[in-house]
Amino acid sequence: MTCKTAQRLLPLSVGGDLPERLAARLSDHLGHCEACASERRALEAAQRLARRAASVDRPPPLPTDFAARVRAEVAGTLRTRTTPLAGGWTPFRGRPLMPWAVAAALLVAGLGLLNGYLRLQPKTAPGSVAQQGVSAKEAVASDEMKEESPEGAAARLAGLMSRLNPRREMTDEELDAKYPVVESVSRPQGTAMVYHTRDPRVTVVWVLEPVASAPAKGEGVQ
Amino acid sequence: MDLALRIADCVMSEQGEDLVVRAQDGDLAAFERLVRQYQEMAYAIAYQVVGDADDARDVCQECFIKLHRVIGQYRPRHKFSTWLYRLIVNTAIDFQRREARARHAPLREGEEVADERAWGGGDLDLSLDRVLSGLSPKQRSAFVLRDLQGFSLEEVAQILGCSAITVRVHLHHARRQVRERLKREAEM
Repeated sequence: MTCKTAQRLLPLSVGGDLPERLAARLSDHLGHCEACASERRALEAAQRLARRAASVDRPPPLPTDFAARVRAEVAGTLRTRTTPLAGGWTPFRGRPLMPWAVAAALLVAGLGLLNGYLRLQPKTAPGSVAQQGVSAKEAVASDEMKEESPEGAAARLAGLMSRLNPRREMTDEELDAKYPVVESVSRPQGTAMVYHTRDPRVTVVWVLEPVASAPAKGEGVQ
Repeated sequence: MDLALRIADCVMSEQGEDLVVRAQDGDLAAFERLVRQYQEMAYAIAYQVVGDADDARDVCQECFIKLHRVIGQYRPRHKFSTWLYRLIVNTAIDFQRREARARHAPLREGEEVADERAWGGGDLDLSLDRVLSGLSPKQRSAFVLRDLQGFSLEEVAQILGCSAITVRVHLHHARRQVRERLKREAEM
């Protein structure tokens, strides 16, 4: 064992906190290295001095009715924490409440509640057939879809795509892979396909593709 | 742990468990007896960790009031005294950090906060707070529990809520710093 290693182990060795194997190796080293042995003696002396300090440096005793005071505080019989008690001991010396910390906590709590509220709101596109658990069959049969104009359907498709692929990073193939079709139904006015998304707030998306005109799209929200 | 405290702890552990159950059921008289049983030990540890008698009393009171709030969470699979020591040490460490912030002098690992001038003048100043004042709250707590109160390494790890390896690291730094501090004092 080198002196460098021994020096690293010495503080733990004086408290008996080294594993036996290391302690034995260190002991061998100390047997023939006076510098390290001297350092160990110094560490032991420091530990003894600290213990002596602890034995000499005792705090004044607790008030004899300490437990009763705690009980009273717990029971709520002490109306204020800063009222001095008998014996000159104030159980709680006044500490600033830190108004900025309270304000920050309230702000965070408010934002959290707002966020939770917004998350609970269904994400629906204006004019779309937004029904929970809507199936492709129901979507195609819905009155809204029957009355859908090609222009309106195209606009809603664009809106839907911008939400599913906001940065246009995904190709059509990637979109297909990410939102696999799980159901499709053909009707005279088009084909409705039910897609699943990974967004738990939007679990079903359906897209209606008219046979001849521009595609009509919608989305279902679950 | 001090021998007296160890003996008291053994005696208490038998009666204590029953008191704990009653205190958990809302029996305030049992809770008061529980406080009385552990208050001296709590005060001794708090004093050595925070280094001031008034602060130690505050820590003790805060700790026991906190105990009343959380005693329902105690489960007998742990020794009650170890669970309580953890509460005491955590309360004391939190107290130190609050105080350090209030003084605009945040404690960092190994930061020296003692007034070096206090160490001049020849004779060794054996105030424990001075000896330990350069240690971080965790280092100081590990040193107090292991070297002054005599808890085992595993017990210290349980009380501090960390691994035995982490306790060894804290002890390594604490002992070395205490040794350096006393060496400097001896040289002056």
